[in-house]
Amino acid sequence: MNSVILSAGIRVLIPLFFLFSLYLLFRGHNAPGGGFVAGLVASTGFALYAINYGAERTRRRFKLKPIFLIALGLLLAVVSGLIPVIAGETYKTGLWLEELEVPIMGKPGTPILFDIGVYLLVGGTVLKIIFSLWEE
Amino acid sequence: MVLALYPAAAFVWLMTQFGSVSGGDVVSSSWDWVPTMGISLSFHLDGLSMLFALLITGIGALVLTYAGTYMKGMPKTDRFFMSLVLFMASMLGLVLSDNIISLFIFWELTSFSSYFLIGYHHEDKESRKSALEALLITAGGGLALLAGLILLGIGGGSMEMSELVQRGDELAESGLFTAAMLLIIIGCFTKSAQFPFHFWLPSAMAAPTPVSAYLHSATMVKAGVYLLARVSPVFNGADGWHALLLIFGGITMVLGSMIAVMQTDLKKILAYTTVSALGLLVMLLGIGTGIAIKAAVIFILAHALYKGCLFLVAGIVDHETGSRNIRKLGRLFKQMPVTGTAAVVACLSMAGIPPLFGFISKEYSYESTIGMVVNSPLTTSAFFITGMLFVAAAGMLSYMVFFGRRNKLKIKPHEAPITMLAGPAVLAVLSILLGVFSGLINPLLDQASQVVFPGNEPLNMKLWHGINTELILSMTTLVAGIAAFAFVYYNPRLMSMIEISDKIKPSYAYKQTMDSLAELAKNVTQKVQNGYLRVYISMMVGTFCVLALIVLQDFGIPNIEVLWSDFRVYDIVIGVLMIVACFYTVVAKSRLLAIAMLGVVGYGVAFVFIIFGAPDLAMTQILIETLTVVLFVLVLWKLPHYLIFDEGFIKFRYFLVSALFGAIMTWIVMLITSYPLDSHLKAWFAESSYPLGMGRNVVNVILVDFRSLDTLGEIVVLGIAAVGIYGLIKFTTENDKEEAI
Repeated sequence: MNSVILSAGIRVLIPLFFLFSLYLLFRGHNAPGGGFVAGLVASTGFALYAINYGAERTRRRFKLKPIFLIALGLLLAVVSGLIPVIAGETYKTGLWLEELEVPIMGKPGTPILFDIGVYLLVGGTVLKIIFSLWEE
Repeated sequence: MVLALYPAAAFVWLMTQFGSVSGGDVVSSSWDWVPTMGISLSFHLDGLSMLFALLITGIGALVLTYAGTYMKGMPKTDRFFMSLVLFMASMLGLVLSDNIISLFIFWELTSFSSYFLIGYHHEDKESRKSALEALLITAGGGLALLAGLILLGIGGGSMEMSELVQRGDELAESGLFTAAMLLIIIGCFTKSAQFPFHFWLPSAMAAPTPVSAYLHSATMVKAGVYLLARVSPVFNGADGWHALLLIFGGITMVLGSMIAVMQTDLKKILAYTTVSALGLLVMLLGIGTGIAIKAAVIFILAHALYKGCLFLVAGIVDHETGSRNIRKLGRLFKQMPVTGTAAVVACLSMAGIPPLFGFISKEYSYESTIGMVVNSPLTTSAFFITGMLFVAAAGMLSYMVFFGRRNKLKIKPHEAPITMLAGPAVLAVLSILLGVFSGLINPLLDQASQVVFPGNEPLNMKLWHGINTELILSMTTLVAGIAAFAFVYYNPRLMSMIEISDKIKPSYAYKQTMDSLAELAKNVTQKVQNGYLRVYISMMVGTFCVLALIVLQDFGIPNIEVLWSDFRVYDIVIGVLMIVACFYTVVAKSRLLAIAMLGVVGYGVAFVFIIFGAPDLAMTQILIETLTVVLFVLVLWKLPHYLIFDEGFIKFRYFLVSALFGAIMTWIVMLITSYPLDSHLKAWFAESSYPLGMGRNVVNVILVDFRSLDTLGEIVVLGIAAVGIYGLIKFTTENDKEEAI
C-alpha cells in the first residue's frame, strides 16, 4: 500500500507512539494505562509502519524479534513472581522499594516488572500476528 | 560417567542402613504435601523397600557407567541421560513411598520417563509406536491402580501403606475390599507385563539396550510385582486373590517361556523370558504361603542379577558385532572372553545350576509348589515346563552366541571397553558370590519376606539341602532343558516355521481398539471442524445459549422496568447509532462496509465504557478496534469472495442463532442489574489498592498485583495464541506452495 500521507506521517509518529506507550506503561499503576494498553499502542505504531513499508523492512529497521519479545515478556512476568520467593515470601507477593519515589510511576516494585512483561508480550504477540499475515 | 556417582552414592548410603534394616528396623521420614487430604511425601525403608532400592541404585550405577560408553556418538544423549536419571529417581521414590498417593505419582512418573526412553529413536516409526504402546498400557493400568489405591485408602481409613497393611479386617468390613483388590491387580498386571497385557514389554525392546537392561529386567517391570508384594499382607487369603494371580501368572509364565525359545533376536529372547519370570513371581505371590513368599524375594534378586547381566551382554554383542540375531552369531568367546564368561555365568544362574544364586531360587520355587495343598501337580508341572524352557533359552543365549557354529559376521568383533564390561562382570560375580555365601544376603531377604508375609518363619538359605524331591526335580528340569535346547539348536528351520496367527494375539485387540479410536476421532473432527468459520461461530454461540438457558431457567423473568430507568441523552444517541450500525453490518453488500460498520459498533462500546467511568477499558477497546482495522486491511484482498446468502433458509438459520444469543445476553444483563451489586469486594479493592498495592489505578493494581496470577495465565494463553496463529499461517502457506509445485 502506498499512501503519501501515511508514509510521511508514520515516520514522525513512530517515536511518538513508542514514547506514549512507555508513558502509558509506567503511569498505569496510578492512572489509566498499564502494560496491556501500552503494548497495543506500541504495536499499533509498528503495524502502521509495516502496512506502508512492508514487514521485512519494519523488522530490520527497528530490529524487532516478536518471538523473542514474547519469550522475554513471559520470562519477566514469571521472574517478577519469583523474586518474592527468594525473599522468603509466597509466589507473586508484591515487593516495593519503599523509600524511592519515581515521577509518573510511583514506587518501583515487582508489579511494574510484571507489567513490563505484559507489555513486551502483548506487543510481541500483535507484531507476530501482523508480520505473519503480511508475509503470507 | 560422572552421573553414575549419584546412584552409587545412594547405594552406599543404603548399605550403611543395611545392618539396621536387616535387623528389622524401619527408617522413615515424612513431609506434608496436601495435609487436608492426607497426602504427604512419606518414605519408609523396610526390608522389601531396601531390596528394591539396592537393586535400583546398584544396577543403576552400573547401567549409567555402561550407557556412558554405549551411547557415545549418538545424538541427544543429554536428553537420554536426563530421562534415565529421572526414571531412576521415580523408581526409587516408588519403592520408598509409604503414602499411597505419592506412590501412585512416582508410579506414573516411571511410566512417563520410560516413554521417553523407549521412544529414544523417535524418528523411527516402530520406536514411537512401541513407546506409545507401553505408555498407554501402563498408564491406563495406572488409572485403575489410582482408583484401587483410593478405595483402599477410604476402606482402611489411612493413606499410609504401613498402616493399611495392618488394617485388613477393617477393609474387609468396608465393602470396598474386592473392588480395591481387582483394580490394584489390574494396575500391577499392566506394569509387570502379565497376560493379556504382556505384549508391550517385547515391543519396548526398541529402546537402547541400557534402558532394557535397567527398566525391563530389574526395575520398572518389577514395580507391579513390588506393589503386589506390598499389599499382599492385606489381600493374602482373600477370595479370588490366589486364583487370579495363579491363573494369570501361570499363563504368562508358560506362554512367555514358550515364545522366548522361538525367537532369534537376543533382546526378544530376553524380553520374553522376563515376561515369563514376572509371571513366575506373580504366581509365587499367588501361592502366598510362607515358603512361596521366600521363593519370590529370592527370585527377585536372582532374576535381577542374571537378567540385568544378560541384557548388558546383549548390548555389548550388538554394539561390537552389529547383530543380535542368534542364527548369525557364534564362536565369539575367543574375541570376547570377559563378556562371554559373564554371559555363561548369568546363563548358568538362569538355568538354575549350583552353586549359583539361581539354583537356590529354583529350589525354593519347587519347594513352594510341592507344598501346595491344592493343585500342586498342576503348578509343579507348569514350573517344570518353564524351568526347562529357561534352560533352553539360557543355552541359546550363551552357547549359540559364544560357542556353537561359526558366525556369519562381516566384521571382526573385539572385546568391549572396561566401562561396559564392569556392569555384566559385577553382576555375574554377585550371582556366584551370593550363591556360595548366601548368608551375606540372608538377613535382608529374610526381612523382605517378613514384610510381605508378616510372621513368616526365618529364612535360612543353603546351597545343599540334601537329596530330596526338589533337587531331583531340579536335575530332571536341567536334563529336559538341555534336550529342549538341543532340539532348538538342531532344528532351526522347524522353529522358524512356527507362526502364530496375529488375530489371536492380545496385541491385535490393542491395535484394533486404537485404530477404531482414531477412526472415531477422525469422523467427529470432520463433522465438528469442517473449516467454515460461520459454522464454528454458530456452534460456539449455540452451545453457549444452551448452557446459559439451563442456568437461567432457575431465575425467571426480571422486572422489565429496569429497561427505562434513568436514561441520559447520549445513552440514547450511542445506542441508536450502534443499532443502526449493526443493521448495516448485516445487510452490507461488501466486506469493507461490513467491517467499517462493525468498527462503529466497537467504538460505540468504547464510548459506553467512557460514560460509565472505565477509562482503561475504553482505551483498550479503542486500540483493539484500530488494530482490527489494520489487520483487516492486511488480509482483505486475500480473503475469498464475500458471501451473501440468498437462500432464505440459511439466512433464517443464522438469524435465529443471533436472535437467540441477543435475547439471552439481554436477559442476563437485565438479571444482573436487577440484583444489588455486592460492593463488598469493590470497596475492599478500592480501599486496599494504595496501601497494599502502592497504586491508585485500581484496575491496574488488580491486574498486576492482587490477581496477577490470573493475568499471568492470560498472557501465557496470548503467547500461545501468537505461536498458534504463526503456525497456522506458515503451514497453510507452505502447503499451498507444495500444491502449486
